[in-house]
Amino acid sequence: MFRKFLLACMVLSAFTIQTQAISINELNSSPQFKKVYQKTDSYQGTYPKDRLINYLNTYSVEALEYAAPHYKLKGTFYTVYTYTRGTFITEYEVTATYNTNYSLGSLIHASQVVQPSPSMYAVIKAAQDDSGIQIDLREVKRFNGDGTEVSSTVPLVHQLRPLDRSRSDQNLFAIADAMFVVAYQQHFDDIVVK
Amino acid sequence: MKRFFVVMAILCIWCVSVNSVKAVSNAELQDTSRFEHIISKGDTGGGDGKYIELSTLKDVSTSASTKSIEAKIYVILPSSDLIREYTIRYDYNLMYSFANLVARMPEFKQRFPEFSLNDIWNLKLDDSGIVGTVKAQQDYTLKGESKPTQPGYKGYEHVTFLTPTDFDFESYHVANRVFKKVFGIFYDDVSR
Repeated sequence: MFRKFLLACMVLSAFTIQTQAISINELNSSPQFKKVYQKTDSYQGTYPKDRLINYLNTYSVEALEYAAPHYKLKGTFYTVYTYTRGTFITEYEVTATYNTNYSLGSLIHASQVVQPSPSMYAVIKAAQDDSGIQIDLREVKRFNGDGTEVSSTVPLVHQLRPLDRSRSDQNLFAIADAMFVVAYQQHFDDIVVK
Repeated sequence: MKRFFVVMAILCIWCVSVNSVKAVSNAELQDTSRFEHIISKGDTGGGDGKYIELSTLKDVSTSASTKSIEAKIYVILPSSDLIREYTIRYDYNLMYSFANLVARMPEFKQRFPEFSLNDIWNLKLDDSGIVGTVKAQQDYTLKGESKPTQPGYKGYEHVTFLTPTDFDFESYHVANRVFKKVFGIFYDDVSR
């Protein structure tokens, strides 16, 4: 009886470990992970070419609040960093709060309806002032490319801030938008609040 | 001989007047009939800012799909006792105005069913549609005295206060305002 219990525990723990660790192979082969953003930095000179890819765990997306035009979604994504010295994976948990009054679709619609002469330039200014998306981003774990966990003394990142529609936030914007697509089958910017 | 002196004197006066026109002081930049202050997000409020010399705005377009403007723009940095004069050329690809890209949304959607308005934003982040090229630059003190121009840092030569005109940069808005000064409409409102 005790041996059976021990065996069950071992099987269970092996299973748990496997579900917690993540490797590049899994991210690329399992259908639950969707590649949503890729960026290659090419520095001039001696710097290596660094690559960053984000994978959203589409099964992880859950709706926390739904009160249009406000939405709140939570999900897990993985960022794969490829440097010349190796490949690293970071697991993030993100909660995104959306206000679809600020989607590009809503801003364009508002500009066409309210103003006598619609200004697309005003839409750009408004969208740059407020992207409509806030994030609560938590770094959860760090892995090597083969899925083994990295033990590091560098503190895990925790950010709570509005997203900016600039290139520096393009990757996080892509994640937040992909979560929105998973939950509502539409891109955030295509929602039109009338 | 007398005639020669008179000609020399006239030449001297002419030279001085040309030079004084070229140099610009902070006090002169406040003359709103000659310069327009661009209220810019990048300003700190400490007296810095960008000024367009209105008489220098020139439409130099040669093609229907690209509008081109040349102008002199002054950037003031009081803390460095610096006025930097840029002779700049902007080339605006009219097909890439935000209004034109938004108008083409149905066409994009037909070709790529998953195309979203956010992809238009990303297109602009990759290529803003405006290219700014600094043709000449000259430094002055705030009093308008010429100052030797500092060479740019190695690898950063193309980075100035006005270029590059990337979509998420303040310099992009300056270029949009310059377009409006010449054509009466913001670049991103152009639809054709």
